[in-house]
Amino acid sequence: MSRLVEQIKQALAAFVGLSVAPALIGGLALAAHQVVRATQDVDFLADADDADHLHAVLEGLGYRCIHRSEDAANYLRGDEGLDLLYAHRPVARRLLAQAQERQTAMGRLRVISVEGLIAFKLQAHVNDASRVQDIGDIRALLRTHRHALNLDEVQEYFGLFDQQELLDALLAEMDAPHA
Amino acid sequence: MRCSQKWTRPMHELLPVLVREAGIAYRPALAADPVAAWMDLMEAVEVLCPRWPPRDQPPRSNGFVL
Repeated sequence: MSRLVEQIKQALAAFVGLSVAPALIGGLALAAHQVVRATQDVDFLADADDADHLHAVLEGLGYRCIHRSEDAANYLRGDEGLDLLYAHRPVARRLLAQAQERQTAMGRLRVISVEGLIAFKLQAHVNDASRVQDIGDIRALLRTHRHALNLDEVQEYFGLFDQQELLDALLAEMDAPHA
Repeated sequence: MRCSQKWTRPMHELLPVLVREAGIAYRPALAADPVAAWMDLMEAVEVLCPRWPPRDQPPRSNGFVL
C-alpha cells in the first residue's frame, strides 16, 4: 500500500470518535469525482467544534501544526501534509452534513458532493483570483458531471459569490460546438 | 445554458460564505524519488476513482504543424 494511501487510512481511523466525520475535499476529492489531477494535498472539511479534538489527534499521529485559525489549519509530518478547513458557517456545515460516505480500501471515507466541491473551489477563487487552477477544476467538474449535477444548487453558490456571469461563461463553453 | 441573475447583494455583505482562508501556502519537502511519489499518488487515485473516467476525444484539425 502506498504511503499516501497509508496516510489517509491512518487519518480516517483516527477520525473515529469525532462528532462529525470529516469529509475529503480538495484535489483528492476531485479524483473521487472522476477529475484526476496531480496533487498530493490531503484536505478535509471538519466540523469547527472538533478542531481541538482533531488537533490533539493529529499531534498524536506525529503531525506538527504550522498554522491554525478559526477557518483552517495546516499540519505537516515530514514530507506529508494534511490540511483542514473548518465548517462553522451555515453553508459549509450543510455541505459537511451532506457529504457522501464511501467504502474504500482506506476505510469509510466521506467525500464532499460535486456541488460542494465546486462551491469550495469558487470560494478559493474568490479569496484569491490568482489561483487559476480552481477555475480549471470547476470547469472539469461541470463538464464531467453536467448531466447529473444539481444545477440549481450550483447556481445558488455562484449567486452567493456574485459570480453568475462566470457560471454562464463556463456553461456556454460546454455548449459550444468544439466542447 | 444560461443562469438567471437572482442574487444581487454586494460581495462585501456576503463573504466569506464558506471559509475566510484556507491556511498558509507551504510545500512539503520534495520526494527523494519522484517516480515513487507519482506511483503513491496514482494508487490513492485508483482507490478514490476505481472507474477511470472516459478519455476526452482528441481534437480534430487539419492545422497541426507538429
